Amino acid sequence: MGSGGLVVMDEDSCMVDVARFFLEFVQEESCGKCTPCRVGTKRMLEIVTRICEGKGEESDIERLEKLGRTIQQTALCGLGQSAPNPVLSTLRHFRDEYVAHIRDKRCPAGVCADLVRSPCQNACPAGVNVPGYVSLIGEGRTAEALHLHRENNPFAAVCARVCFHPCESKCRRATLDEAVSIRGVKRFMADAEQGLQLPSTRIDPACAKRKVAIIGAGPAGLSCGYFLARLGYRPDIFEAAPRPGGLLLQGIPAYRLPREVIDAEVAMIERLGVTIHTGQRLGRDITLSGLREAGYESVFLGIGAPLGTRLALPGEDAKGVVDAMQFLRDFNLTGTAPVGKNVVIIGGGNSAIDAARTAIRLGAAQVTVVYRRTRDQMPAFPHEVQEAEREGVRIRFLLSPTEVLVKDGAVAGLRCVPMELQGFDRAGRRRAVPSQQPTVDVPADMLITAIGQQLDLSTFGSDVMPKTSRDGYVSVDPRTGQTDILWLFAGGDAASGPSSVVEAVRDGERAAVAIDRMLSGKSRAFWREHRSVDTFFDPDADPSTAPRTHQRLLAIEKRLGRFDEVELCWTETDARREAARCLRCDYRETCG
Amino acid sequence: MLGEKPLDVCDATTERLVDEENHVMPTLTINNITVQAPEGATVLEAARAAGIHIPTLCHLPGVHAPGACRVCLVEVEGARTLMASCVTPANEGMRVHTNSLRARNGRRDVVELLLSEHEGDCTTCSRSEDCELRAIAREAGVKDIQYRGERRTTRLDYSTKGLVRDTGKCILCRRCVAVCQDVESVGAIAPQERGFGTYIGPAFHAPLSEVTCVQCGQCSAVCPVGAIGERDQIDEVWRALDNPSLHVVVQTAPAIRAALGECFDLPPGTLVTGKMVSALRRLGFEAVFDTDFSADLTIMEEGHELLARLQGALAGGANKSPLPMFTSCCPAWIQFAEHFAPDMLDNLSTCKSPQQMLGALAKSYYAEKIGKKPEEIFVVSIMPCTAKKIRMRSGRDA
Repeated sequence: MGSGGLVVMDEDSCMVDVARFFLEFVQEESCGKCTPCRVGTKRMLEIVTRICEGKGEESDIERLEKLGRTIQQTALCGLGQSAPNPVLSTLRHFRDEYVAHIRDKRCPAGVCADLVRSPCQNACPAGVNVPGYVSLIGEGRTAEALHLHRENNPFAAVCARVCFHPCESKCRRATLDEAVSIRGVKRFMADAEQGLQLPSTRIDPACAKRKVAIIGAGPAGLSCGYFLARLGYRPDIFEAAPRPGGLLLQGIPAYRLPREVIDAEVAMIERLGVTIHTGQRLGRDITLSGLREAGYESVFLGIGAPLGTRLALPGEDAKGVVDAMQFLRDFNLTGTAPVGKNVVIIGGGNSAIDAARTAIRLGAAQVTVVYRRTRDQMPAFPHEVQEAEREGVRIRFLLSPTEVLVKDGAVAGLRCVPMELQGFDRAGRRRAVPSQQPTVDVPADMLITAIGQQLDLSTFGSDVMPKTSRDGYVSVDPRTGQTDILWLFAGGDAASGPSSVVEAVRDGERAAVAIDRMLSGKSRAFWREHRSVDTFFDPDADPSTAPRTHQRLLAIEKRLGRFDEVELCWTETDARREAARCLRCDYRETCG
Repeated sequence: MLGEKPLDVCDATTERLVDEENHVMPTLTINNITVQAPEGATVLEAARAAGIHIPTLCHLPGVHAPGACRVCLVEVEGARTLMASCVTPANEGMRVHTNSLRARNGRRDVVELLLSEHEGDCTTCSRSEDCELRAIAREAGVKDIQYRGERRTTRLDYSTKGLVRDTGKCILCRRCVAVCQDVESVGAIAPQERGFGTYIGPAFHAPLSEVTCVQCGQCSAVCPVGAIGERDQIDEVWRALDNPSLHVVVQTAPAIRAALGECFDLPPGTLVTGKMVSALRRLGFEAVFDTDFSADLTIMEEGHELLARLQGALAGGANKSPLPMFTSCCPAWIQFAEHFAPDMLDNLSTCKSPQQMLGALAKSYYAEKIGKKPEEIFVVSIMPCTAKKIRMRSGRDA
């Protein structure tokens, strides 16, 4: 940091705030004799403070770099000459944090008080008012809680089952005992819904007449439709599959996310004025230019990344080798899928675990997951991995496939080389490298690959196509979701690569707001304004001492061969007690 | 030795150039021009000796070179940062660039920072015509002040009769401090506090009138900006001139008639006595007096006093009027004696200064001559120094 010392920080330290802290220190130490140190570091501090307060401007980063270099070159003594170093270092290595503060008015670390209401809400990609709805549930006001949740995220019931809860990972309660089980509380709220609760919506006949198309009825597309409808539009969603839901339906198995839950929230979205046309595939039944000619002023691409990444190994085209996405899609859409006796799945993400737990329910005698790294490096949700093993799935670690063994044209096994951990890669993960041990042959009569997802570029055909990034996903403006084609927006897995439901919801909302701004010239996202919640909270009272409520699960014997939901809903007592564990980090003296 | 042309004499042992006193003279290049610098010279002095201009601000030749303002920055090949030429010694083999891109940018950015903290309005500032900060800003090419932020705190000090201070306009060059401490040996002001909040002033937040300031005004003479200036009483004079019940007269010090012409673009030192008197009459002064006249009176009075002291000393006995006798018409000098040498006050002549004598005469002898009461006479004195304002009587008996 310029002083020659070593400080260890993690993602909970805001690097912009760290730079500000150093500049404050420099200002106190500066003798004030020479102009660059006395005035220059003050100006730098003023700029960084503005950024931390959410008042950063686009050119602030350039200003800081120029000012920093000037001060380094012109100051009288070593203090002044090294004063800009913390700022310049953080700008070089953590530029994205500065950009988040300036462009998105967001503090990813959850530190800067003017940008962060509470760490949970800050961590939620959709910006849901977590302490708000949790406290409402604590008072038994579940309908209001649901209404508050749906201000920012329509999929309360869906996310209650499948969200990876970044909110819980930042929950301050964890510093006391364990994080609040926010997802569990949310499940209670969602299941308590009576009938179909509709969110506040603007009626706007002018908007209703304008045509906006959305391609893909997955979480991104449905979210985009939801928010456009709340602004007064009546968008059309074109979905290739016979039923809407996207990966919610085609990827996530029913034992995690029952089909009725998806249908209910999709129905709610349709009730707002969104029309879903199924059986309409981009490239086959509709094209982008065709939509434009039909009068659609703007199009949102929520087409996902449905293609599984190929293994690129010899033997991969043998019979019995299938991609996980295809396997899950076949089963989830048709109700049947061929499954072998001895199923081996390659991969360590949620798709691999979903495929494994589906295969075992479909009657495979032996299901083995082969992963090239270790357990704690698996991207899949830990509780999913745990349940998979309890259901009988075997997971083998530090094995990397080198060849698919084929016999009579069909898969017979998977040859793997054992790996070992050595050093670190650029992302900071321990690197797995082939060890010197002899190869291992894992017998299999069905091989499911779950090693990555790609955008299906063939859907565009020879029609107009947006620019894609180096990773092969659609390039979009991070603020708006706009592609290089002005009327074309994109979000969800199609733009970011495999991600999560809540991030797809955020992408859909972002694009809806941008489309509305483009068409109407105004920023009218009324749901983005913060509304305080009138729940009672006594800041002087001691926090609740109740421990974290554990998730109740269906007994193992009841799960086998069936796709009944594994996670069970909570009782009201459990939900309210858990909600009371919340420390209300959002509480402010003035407005509560 | 500064500025003198060096002799081409080589030192026998080192074959380096020496001057006539056998000091080694470093050879360096500035802007690709070979320059022989006098020994001990700074890069700035070497450049000036070679006729190369480097802009400065806090530098006061012969008095003060703190390297604080960072305006005189130059690029020296091999140096990590830009160097302040006023404090960097000129060394053998140095390669200096005064106008390289790095030097120009550094200079301009420093001046821009200085302007961003300056709390003053050029349109109403008394120094706007000859402000060195304005000149430097133009020379450095500052087009825009892009930093909006906190400015210097304005502390106004109107406590003394002669001087006015405005810390908001100060650029902390510390020339005033150097002159007050090192040249005048008074030391009434110094930098207070630290960092961004530094300001020049007396200690313990005291007003200037409560410390040893002698009002000599040298601080205002060297101040490059409008942070210290003389007290402006032009409005008071106009009020007197506009007042029909007052008989307003003016006296002019000897220096004025030789200095006034410069304000009207005449060569410095041009004698403008006649023009001065006519202008004063046109302004409405009823009479224009010459302080030269009362200077003669002072000489006579002081001469008599000296004679009396000498007689007393020669006669022996109780030494009632001690010798030697000192005299000066400078009120700052008298103040200095009062603050720093009170034991010598008895050696000071008791006579008034020429300015005081004429003032006294105007309200007595002259008043009676023209048939006016003393309180109807208003005397304005045009003097070359702020210290003279100490002798001004304010209030209704002015």
